[in-house]
Amino acid sequence: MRERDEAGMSLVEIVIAIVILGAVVSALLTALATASISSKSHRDLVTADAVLRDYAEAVKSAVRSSCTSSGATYSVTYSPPSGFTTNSLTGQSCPAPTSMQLVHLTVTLPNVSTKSLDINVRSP
Amino acid sequence: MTPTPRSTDPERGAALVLAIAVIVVVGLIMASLFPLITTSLHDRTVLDSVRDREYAADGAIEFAVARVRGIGGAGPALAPCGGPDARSANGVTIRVDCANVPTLTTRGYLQRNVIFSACVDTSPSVACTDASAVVRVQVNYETPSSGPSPAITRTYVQSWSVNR
Repeated sequence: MRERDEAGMSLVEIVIAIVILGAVVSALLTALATASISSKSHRDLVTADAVLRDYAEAVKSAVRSSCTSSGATYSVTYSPPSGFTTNSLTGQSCPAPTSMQLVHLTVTLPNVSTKSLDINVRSP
Repeated sequence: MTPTPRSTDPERGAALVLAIAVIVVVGLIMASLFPLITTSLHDRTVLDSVRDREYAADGAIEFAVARVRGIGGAGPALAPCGGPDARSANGVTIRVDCANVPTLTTRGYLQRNVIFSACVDTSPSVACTDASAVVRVQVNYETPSSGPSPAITRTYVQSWSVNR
């Protein structure tokens, strides 16, 4: 025959424990999902930085190679990584020989947010 | 009526204690992971501002190099290189100071060596120092020695240092 103090109380405790542990595991999984999303976002930001730098160097190179005569124009050929897009710079007027031209660069990330950078370029 | 005897089982309540212990441990783990995420995002912001500053300084230096090239008159009797120059980009104003440095004049050419230092413009009266420079550049200008005011015909970038 079962003793009286073993009846029911352990079951209540276990049910409470299961509920609490369920909440904890749920929170843990949510935290892991958030960390995963954050990691992806951070990776995209790092890639966007590299894309912006590459794009800026491509613009400077295009200006140096194309802007060698009066009235010339330059176009930038640059292929960003998959999922990233850059603003188009085609048929741009070259900066005057003694002045600088401010060029606005924009990179759109896979999550549709944008990062931008302004650079000053000059004709050689 | 006979009162119910209290349990003397030492394991009674252990499941709840264990559950609370797990909550505390998991909570500590999550609390330690959270700063990891926020710190990496904060670092990204800082690195973005460093990149913006670098490219602003890059453009300002290019402007100053071109301006000094237009001065001409390289050689032993150097005119001052002028400046300071100031250019803005990405919300940062960059100041560029220049200084003529001793030049070894080779036969057939006159030269001007100039060191440019670009730094964030904090005050119009504060000149760039090596410690505060974002970009430091040494440029050599050359010109044929003939003629009363010879124009610069060759420009060599001898060093280009970026200080993050």
